[in-house]
Amino acid sequence: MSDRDRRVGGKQSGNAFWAGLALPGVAWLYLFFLLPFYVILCVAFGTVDPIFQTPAPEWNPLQWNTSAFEFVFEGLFSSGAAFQTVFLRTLVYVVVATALSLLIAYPVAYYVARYGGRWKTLLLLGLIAPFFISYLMRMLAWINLLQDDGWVNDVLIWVGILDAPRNWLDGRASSVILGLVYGYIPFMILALYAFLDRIDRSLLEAARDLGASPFQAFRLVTLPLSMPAILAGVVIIALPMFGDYYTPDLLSQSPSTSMVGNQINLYIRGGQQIPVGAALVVVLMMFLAVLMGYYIVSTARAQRRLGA
Amino acid sequence: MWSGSAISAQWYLPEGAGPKALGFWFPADGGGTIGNDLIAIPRAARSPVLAHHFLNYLLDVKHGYDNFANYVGYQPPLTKLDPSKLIADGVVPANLKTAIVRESDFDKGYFPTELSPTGQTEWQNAWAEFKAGVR
Repeated sequence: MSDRDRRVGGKQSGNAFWAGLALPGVAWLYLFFLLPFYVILCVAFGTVDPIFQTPAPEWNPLQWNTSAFEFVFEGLFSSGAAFQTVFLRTLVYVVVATALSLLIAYPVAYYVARYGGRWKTLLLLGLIAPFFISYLMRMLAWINLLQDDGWVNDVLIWVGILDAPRNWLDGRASSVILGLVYGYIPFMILALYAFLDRIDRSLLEAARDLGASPFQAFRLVTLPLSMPAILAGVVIIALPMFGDYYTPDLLSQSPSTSMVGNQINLYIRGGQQIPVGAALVVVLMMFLAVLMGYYIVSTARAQRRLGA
Repeated sequence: MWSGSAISAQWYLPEGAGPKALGFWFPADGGGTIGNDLIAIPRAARSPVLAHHFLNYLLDVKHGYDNFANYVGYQPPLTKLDPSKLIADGVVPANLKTAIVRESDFDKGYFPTELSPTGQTEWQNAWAEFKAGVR
C-alpha cells in the first residue's frame, strides 16, 4: 500500500463522506447476502406445510428444528448413503476439473501475458468471447458435438482412435468433467493472466543474470510469484463448480454422474423435505467457507511475505 | 387414458373413420386404475339449496343421460346406465364396452390417492437415492 492510499483509506480522513461511499456495498451485502442467507437458515431449520408443501421458515432461532441437518449429516457420514456418494463424486469431479483447468489455463495465460505482444488485447478478447454466449447455449453446443453422429466422434474415427461412434452422452464422468472445464476455464485464464501480466520482468532478468536456466527461472521465480493467482483461479472456478447441477443434467442426466447440486435441486423443487435441500445448501456453504478461509489466510500470508 | 376420454374419442375421429377404429383395454380381473371427478359445495357457498337442486338435476337419469350422450361424454355415476343399455342405444360403440364403468369396478380397481406426508417423504428419499446413483 502506498502512502497516498493510506491517507485516503486510513482513519485520519474518517469523515462521514468517505464512510458513506461504502454504503452501497454494505447495503448490497445486507440485502443480497446476509438477509437471504438468514432466510435459507430459517427454511433449513423450519418445517413444511403438509398440504401445500410450501416451506414454513422458523424465524425464531430459539425454536429451530434440527431434524433436516440431522438427516443430512447422517447421510453424509454413513458409507454408501446417497449424500455421501454424491458429495464424494462432486469432490472428485471438481478436483479433477480444476486441476485440468489449471493445466490448460496456465500455459495459455502465460503465453498471452509474456508473448502476446501487440496481439495481447486481441488474444484476451478471444478468450473472453465465449462469455458472450450463455453457459446454457455452450453446453447445448457440446451436446451437438458429442452426440453419436457429432463432430467429436467423426474426428476421432477419422483419426483412427475410435472404430465406432461412442455415445459420450449416456452418463459418462468424462463428459461432465469436460463440460465443467470448458464452462469455467475462462475465469481461471483471466485470473492467472491478470497476475502473470504484472510480474516484474526485471526479476526474471535478474534470475537469468544470476545463472538460472529459463526453466529454473520459471520454477524459482515465476511459479512462486504466481501462487496467489493460482489459488485465486482455483477458488474462483471451484466454488461455482461445487454448486453446478445443469452441466451433469445437460451432458449426462444419468444418476451415476449426479452432483450435490442435483440433490439440492431435487429436494428444493418440491415435496415434504424442502428443509433438507436448504440444509444441504448450508452444509455445502460451510465446506466452501473452509476452502475460502484457507484462500484468504494464504493470500494474506503471501502479501506479508512479499512485503507489499 | 381414462375410459371417459375413450368414449368421447368417437366424436373426434377424422371424417369417414368409424368408432370401430377405437379400442380400450382394462385389466380383465378389474385390477386397473379407477377414479372419478367430483362436484363439491363449499361450506361457505352462498346458495347451498340451489347447489343441491343442481346436483339432483345432474343425478336425475333423464338429464344425466342427456348430459352424458349429448354434451360432456363423461359417464355419470348412474346405475341405470348399464353397459348393455348404453350399447343398445348406440351411445357407446360395442367395441368400447370395456370403457363403460360399473359400480362394481370400484370394488377391485385401484383408486389413485395422495401420499401421506410420511409416505411422500419416504418416496422422495428413495427417489433421491436412485437419482444419486446409489440404488
